[in-house]
Amino acid sequence: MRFKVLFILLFYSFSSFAQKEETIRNLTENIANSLPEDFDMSELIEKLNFYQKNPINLNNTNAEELKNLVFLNPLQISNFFSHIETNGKLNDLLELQSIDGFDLSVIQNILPFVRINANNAYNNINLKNSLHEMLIRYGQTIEKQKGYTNLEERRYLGGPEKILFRYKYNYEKTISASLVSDKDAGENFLNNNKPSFISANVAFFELKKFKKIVIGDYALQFGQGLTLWSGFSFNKGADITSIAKKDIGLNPYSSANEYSFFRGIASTISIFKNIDFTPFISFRNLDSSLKLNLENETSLSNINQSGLHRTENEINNKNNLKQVVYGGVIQYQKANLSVGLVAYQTKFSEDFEQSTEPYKRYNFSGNKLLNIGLHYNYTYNNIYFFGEIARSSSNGLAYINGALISLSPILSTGILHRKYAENYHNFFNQSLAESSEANNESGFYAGLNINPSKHLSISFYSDYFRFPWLKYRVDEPSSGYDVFGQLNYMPSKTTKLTIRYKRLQKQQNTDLEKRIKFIENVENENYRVELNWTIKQLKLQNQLQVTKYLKGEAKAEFSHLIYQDISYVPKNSKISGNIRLAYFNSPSYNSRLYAYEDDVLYNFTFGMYNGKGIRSFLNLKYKLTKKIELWSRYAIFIYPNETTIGSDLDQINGNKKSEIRLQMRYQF
Amino acid sequence: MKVIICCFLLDIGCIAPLFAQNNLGTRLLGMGNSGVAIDDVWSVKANAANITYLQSTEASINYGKYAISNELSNQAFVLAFPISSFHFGLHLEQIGITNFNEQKIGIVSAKKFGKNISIGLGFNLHQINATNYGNARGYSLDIGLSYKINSKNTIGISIQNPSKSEYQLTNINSKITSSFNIGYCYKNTDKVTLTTSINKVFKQNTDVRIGLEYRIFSIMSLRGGMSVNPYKQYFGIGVNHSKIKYDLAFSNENNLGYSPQISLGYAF
Repeated sequence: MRFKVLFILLFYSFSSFAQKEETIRNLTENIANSLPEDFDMSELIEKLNFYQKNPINLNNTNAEELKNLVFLNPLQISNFFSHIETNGKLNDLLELQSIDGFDLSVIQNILPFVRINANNAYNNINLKNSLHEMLIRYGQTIEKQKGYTNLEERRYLGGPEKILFRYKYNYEKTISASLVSDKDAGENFLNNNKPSFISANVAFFELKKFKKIVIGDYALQFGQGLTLWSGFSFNKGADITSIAKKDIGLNPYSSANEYSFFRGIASTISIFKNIDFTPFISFRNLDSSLKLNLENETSLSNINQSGLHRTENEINNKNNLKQVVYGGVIQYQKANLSVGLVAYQTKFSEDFEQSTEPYKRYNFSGNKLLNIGLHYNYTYNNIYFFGEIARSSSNGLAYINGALISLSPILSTGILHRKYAENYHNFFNQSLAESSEANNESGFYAGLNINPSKHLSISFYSDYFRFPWLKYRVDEPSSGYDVFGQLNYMPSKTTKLTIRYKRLQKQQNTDLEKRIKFIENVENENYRVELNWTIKQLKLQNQLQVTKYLKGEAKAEFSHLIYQDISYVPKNSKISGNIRLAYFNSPSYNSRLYAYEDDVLYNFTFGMYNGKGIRSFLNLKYKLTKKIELWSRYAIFIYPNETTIGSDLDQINGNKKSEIRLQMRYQF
Repeated sequence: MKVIICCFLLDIGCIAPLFAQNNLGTRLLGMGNSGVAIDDVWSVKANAANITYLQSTEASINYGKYAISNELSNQAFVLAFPISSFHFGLHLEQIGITNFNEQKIGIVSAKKFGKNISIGLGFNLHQINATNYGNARGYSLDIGLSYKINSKNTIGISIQNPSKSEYQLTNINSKITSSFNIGYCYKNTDKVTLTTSINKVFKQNTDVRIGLEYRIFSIMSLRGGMSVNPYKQYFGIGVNHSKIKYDLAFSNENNLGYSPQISLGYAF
């Protein structure tokens, strides 16, 4: 019996890598519409790649390390350490089944990334000490866009190709280094003899009292993201446990996203038993729009976060704002309790101007901001409490508190309350919010996960939110709600049916000329049915989506998307690939649809389907040698009724927009 | 002020949703009003068939306020008791303000048929009192059905006023609610109960409701729920000490704010 269970676990673990991508897809789907196109989510998956090659020794790990496994929620992680504390080190992976919240599917998911070795000599298990990884990606839109023609005024000064180069080096778990360089479409390789974007760092781990030292570019993620969180974070999603953020503290940064990171030096130092201190300092040059005021002084209206330097104006704005950030984090962690205190200052070389527009009344002004915050998490039996309270020097207060409760082996619930003042300011804020930033908002979230059997899982949540001050295109305080439900039915190992419903209601200024009310309800409803099934070596996925958009008393808009995906992933073959054929029809941008698209490794794409047309793509992967893998992608949109596609400098004359992408990864 | 509210309430667009909200007691309110398949003394109002699962005589009284106005309130009393192989129930309810209110008095009877099936019937007298407009009376029937699949799973159906009978006075533009409700209750463990229901009020949108009760300590339960149409969130807490049951719940509706309700019950 014992061998049978182990065999089943090992058998399933082969499919876990696909599972990994699906998990990330589920977690990121809800934020797809707020992310820029081609957002680099490599930071999510490359950690898993690393741990697949350097598995975590479950008998010698910590919460921070386990938080990198996206499959584990904070309550499971806490239960794991409680189990170790009570029962001692694990003797067998099967022991995981006796931990609350660890069912067979959770163990299947984490199995490729963990090992058990009681004597802590896992380095001897046939692992290579050094690992180099080099990745080169090339992409281009094939049709000529208006910005690349001989326009006399504004135009793109560089070529249409997109190029990414990434090199990573790991020596066991003690040293890492990375170098990333990126050229976006429309940019020149060099501006003033400097690369368009370059990022690098060297990091050292577990050097006596120095748990981590990063020199170069780094990310900081603490607590619930209310005080200090750079880079990407999950929001509300199909898995309700994603409301509790898994902070991993200081981490080397190797993403191609050009805005939210730090550049300088940072370290996590163990100053006492259970107490860590993370001091950091960062100097960066950012892109911004500066303008002259009446006294002929420059002032800052906004920071450009896109990292694009294509036109003369964008190039002139490059690096014209200096930012200095310095501060520290003290964290105490023992048994079921973790508490952290964060304090840091952000300084800019220019003053943010005070806007006269009413909705910007509480926006940050000045050039100096101090942020302090206190975060905690505590596990009491089957309840994981978490939260954070923060204050900015502009007198804005913000707090968030929540709990994940494992009600029974098949039922878990999550609740969360948040309140962010209008004048709470923070430049590194990723706390859970309906808006893109955690300020001017209060809300209450409640969700439930139900797993009655291994064949069925149901999840749903509801979130009610209020915006006490005006927002862009909302000239009154407003409110709204978000309701989500999803059912997964897996009658067999290879067949899965997903039914999903989502309704989002917000308020917006009326479009009516004769105004009775200034704002009216805007409702977005999305229905989705997805079927995954297998015929021999072919994996098939069918999806149907319908979206309803309704604003006030106007007539409702309906849009739909239907697609067929076919993947060919033969065992022991060097070549694999997948193809999609989709038809979509949305009357306007308001009722646009989003669908996940398979892409080359590390690139996650949520395609936006707007207008009426056909979408198709073909991805091919070829394993040239044991060390070299190649990817290629061709994708096309066809809009039969259009004569032009896109707007402004991205406009294409014609009804087709196609793109190619080539990628090579060399590991040695 | 009262006159203004009175005129306001006489508009069917406002009064219908308010009076159509069947007061199911504070415990079920905390669970999103999704009480068609759960057994509780307030099943007298939610689905009479479910009172057959009560072991003894129970009574409960409740009081609720509405976020829409401080003057609006709701008071109700329910009683359920077994006699021989039958269970009987009584309920009294008043909702409104001094110048405009509705009373509802009802009796119910329910019986088990075999181990798994229960059927309940109810007869209600409705009365509306509106200052300067007079009174109006009407009668309605309720039918309830409960099917216990096993000790953990129950399905319930409740039809209120299926004949769509109306008030006998036509100068008050108000209707006796007709609705069809189907629900499911899942007792996952002795600590966790999950309920859901689909509720269709005649000529109104279909609502989907979900509720959860978690007995966090032996005498205390936490509750939560939501309804989709209209969107509402619900929270509740219940203390069950000796034979006394004390419940507190809030509903939160978009734009309106919080409506509280309390109940005090006794199981003999």
